[in-house]
Amino acid sequence: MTNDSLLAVSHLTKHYPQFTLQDVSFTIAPGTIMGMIGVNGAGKSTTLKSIAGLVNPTSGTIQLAGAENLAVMLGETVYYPEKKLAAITKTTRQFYSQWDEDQYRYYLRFFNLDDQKKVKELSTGMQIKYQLAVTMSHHASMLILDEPTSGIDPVSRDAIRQVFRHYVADGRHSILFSTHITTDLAAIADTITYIHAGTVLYSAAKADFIDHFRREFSLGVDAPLNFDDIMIKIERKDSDDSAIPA
Amino acid sequence: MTLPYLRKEYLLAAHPTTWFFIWLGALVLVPAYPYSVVFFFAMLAPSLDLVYAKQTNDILYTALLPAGKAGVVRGKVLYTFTFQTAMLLLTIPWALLRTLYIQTNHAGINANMTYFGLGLLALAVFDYLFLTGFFKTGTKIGWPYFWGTLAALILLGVMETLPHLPGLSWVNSVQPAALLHQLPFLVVGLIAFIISFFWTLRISIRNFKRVDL
Repeated sequence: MTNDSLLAVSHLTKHYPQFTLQDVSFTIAPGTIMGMIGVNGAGKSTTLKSIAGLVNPTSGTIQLAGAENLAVMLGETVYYPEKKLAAITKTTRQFYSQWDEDQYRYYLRFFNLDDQKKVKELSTGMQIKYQLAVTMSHHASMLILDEPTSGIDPVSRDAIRQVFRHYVADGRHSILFSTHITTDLAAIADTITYIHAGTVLYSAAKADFIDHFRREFSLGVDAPLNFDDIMIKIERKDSDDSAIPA
Repeated sequence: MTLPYLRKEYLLAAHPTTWFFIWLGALVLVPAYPYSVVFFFAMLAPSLDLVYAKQTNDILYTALLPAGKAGVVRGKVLYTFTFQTAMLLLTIPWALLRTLYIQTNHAGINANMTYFGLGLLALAVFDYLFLTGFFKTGTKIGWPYFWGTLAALILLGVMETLPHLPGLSWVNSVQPAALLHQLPFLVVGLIAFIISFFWTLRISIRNFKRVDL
């Protein structure tokens, strides 16, 4: 890791019986947001879980600034459904010396969360917002977020994008998030890493990323190309009608 | 950093029946009852706790805290041993009270030094087999529970058999002189329980670090 990055993933490889994540490398600079895209099963979650220490890589290195105060959120994972948010927070904050109660209270208000409610009483979107509120309240240098906006309405997604921007604005924090929602990439990602079949297809700043694929697809410099187009062109499989059972 | 993990176990992760099971040492007040059952409840509670942990995603939540997967093991091992210690400490007053009014249990061994010593030995063996086995996968509870319970069953079977062997009726006595003779059982049980705690913790951390969540 250089002084220019909060996270440096180098030649990360993980072998499973049915799948291999192969030679994944990228770095994230302070004050930036990286979006990681790819279809289901491409290796995004394996990469994020390796960074979070949940998965043991077969080889490669992960260097993380402030590793003792990492913040990880796995979208749509529901913890302690029978407990009140206040009880979970009270227990969680004791693990973080840098816990910021004012920050936490701010996020609760911003997301309209009532911490006297039980987790099971919240919608999926509200559960994710609560997890984000906790995740962003202990000044972790690096936020690792797996599908943080999945299953969330557009207004709430916009609110989440705002807090992400605010989080990295001081130039000392960074965010790595995976998503299928390409409008999130367009709206907030500074850099994009595309994972395809367990390998990094391309990783670059947003404008360079688009330009790269314009060249790849032999399009003009000003030809319209968005992230949906890129994903579809790379991943699309044309169905063979004759092969579909009647 | 260990205490927050223990606190998290009792405040967030513990199965609600923990607070019921912890009082089941009071079964030694029942005039005729196989008191070994108390130890089986002391083994059942941690296994229910792990089933509940799977339902509430507690293991994933804990693995994402600063100590990572080692924190998960620390919490569960501490919970198991502190729960069993508290349960047995709460059993002692009932055992003393019972001795005041009735001194013979027709359904099994009395709640004396032998009982607590060999019971602790059974728990020590169960905890080691159960927890180190569970932390090989972080998901599979059945076989570790089976092997742990089987080993404990054998030890508790030996405990229930001892008083019926020639010349060993003193192991079942609650008279002060006999209790002194039984003291080595308690010492052995306590030492085994303490050693088991450290071995279980060490081997479980080693096993769980290899697991992919």
